Amino acid sequence: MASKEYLDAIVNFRTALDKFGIGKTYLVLCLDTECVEGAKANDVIAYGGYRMNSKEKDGDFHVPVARAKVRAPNSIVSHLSWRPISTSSTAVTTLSCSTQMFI
Amino acid sequence: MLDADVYLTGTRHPLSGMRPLADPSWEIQFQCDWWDASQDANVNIGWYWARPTNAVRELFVRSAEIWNKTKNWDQAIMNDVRSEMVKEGSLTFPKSIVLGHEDYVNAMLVDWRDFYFDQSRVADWNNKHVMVHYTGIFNVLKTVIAKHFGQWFVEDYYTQSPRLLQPINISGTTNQVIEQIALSVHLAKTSGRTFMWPLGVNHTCSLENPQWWHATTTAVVEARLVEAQISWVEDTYLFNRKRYTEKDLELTTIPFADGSQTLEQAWYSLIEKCQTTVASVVQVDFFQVNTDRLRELPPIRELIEQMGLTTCQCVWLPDGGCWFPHGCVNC
Repeated sequence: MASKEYLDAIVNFRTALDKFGIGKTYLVLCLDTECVEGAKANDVIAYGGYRMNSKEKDGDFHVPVARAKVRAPNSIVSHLSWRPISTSSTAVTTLSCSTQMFI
Repeated sequence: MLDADVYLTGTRHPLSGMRPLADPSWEIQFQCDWWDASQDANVNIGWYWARPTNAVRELFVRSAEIWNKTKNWDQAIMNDVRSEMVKEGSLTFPKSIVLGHEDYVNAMLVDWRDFYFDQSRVADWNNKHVMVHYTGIFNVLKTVIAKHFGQWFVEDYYTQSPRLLQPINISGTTNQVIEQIALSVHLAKTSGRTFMWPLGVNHTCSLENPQWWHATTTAVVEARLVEAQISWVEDTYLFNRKRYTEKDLELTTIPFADGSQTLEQAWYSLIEKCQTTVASVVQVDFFQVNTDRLRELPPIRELIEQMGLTTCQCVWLPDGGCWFPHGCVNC
């Protein structure tokens, strides 16, 4: 779960994965629209199905993070910023973070 | 699944410390969240690798049911459910695995200040581990520390260097260090430069019977407040960029005062020098600068107050407790 504040960290992590040839197995769960668009602009697959509502944006940051961590999405592909080239052959790395990562 | 405050060291494949996909023995592997990395230890849900098995689905479904009712800390809930399922026999080792600290570092459990300034030991640390999960520190400080340790891999960041200003020889009490950082940030802003964190500061809690130690700058100054003022690069930026380019940046050191001027004249002269110097990197030398006398000058005192920097602040936890980040001087 990444919000817009973490775009640089998202790109850095993908770059680190690229060193091992697995940058394309990386998917970011975005908490806001800017994250989806920023990820897309940097060729990172993003899922927008966990975006925060206005109440969550001003509330406890644990809630949207936990909502995404402990609940499986119903249909991950329908919310992807773009279709992955392949997610079937290897493990998929998913990035999770909040606007103020706790631990 | 990983949290955004996980940084790969870049020296080992991310999965190299875990059982491989081809090994059918495991169903979920977690980072450890306790000093003793036994299979009974608490897990950290900021790094795990899960298979879509029935037991793993049950782990998440049961956790979600509890979380929906209680909205308690998700990690504590998953630890409780995992423990129950281990006792019930559906997630006994090796179906559920707690990973070792030797591969997946939980920063909260390591005193990285021990080797912070020793590049050789930093290199050893990076070579040994797969990743570092920066728990126990908060906000932008995670990035400041990860970049310091060379865990930033975006080439343009190093090859397209901005003009930089770095204060050096910063020394004093907490307030004096904060004031020198505030003045440095102001100099960087007024000269159109990016702030490069100093490689530590000499800090003492008191000038009466002082005990000096070389502290990380962010142990004295709240990084979040500096970031609110100016863009920055890490204290080891010049070292780290050598991985990407052999082209050195021209560096000039400017003493804060040369002794021939009043302190006020020296300050305004310094502003002008920082603005007119063409070198890519300006180091402003604060050696023996009397910050207390500087603060007596109204324009400088006002500038420092407007900057609003403070020492590192505690973070309020969900249980109402106040957590001081790793290394905070707190004096």
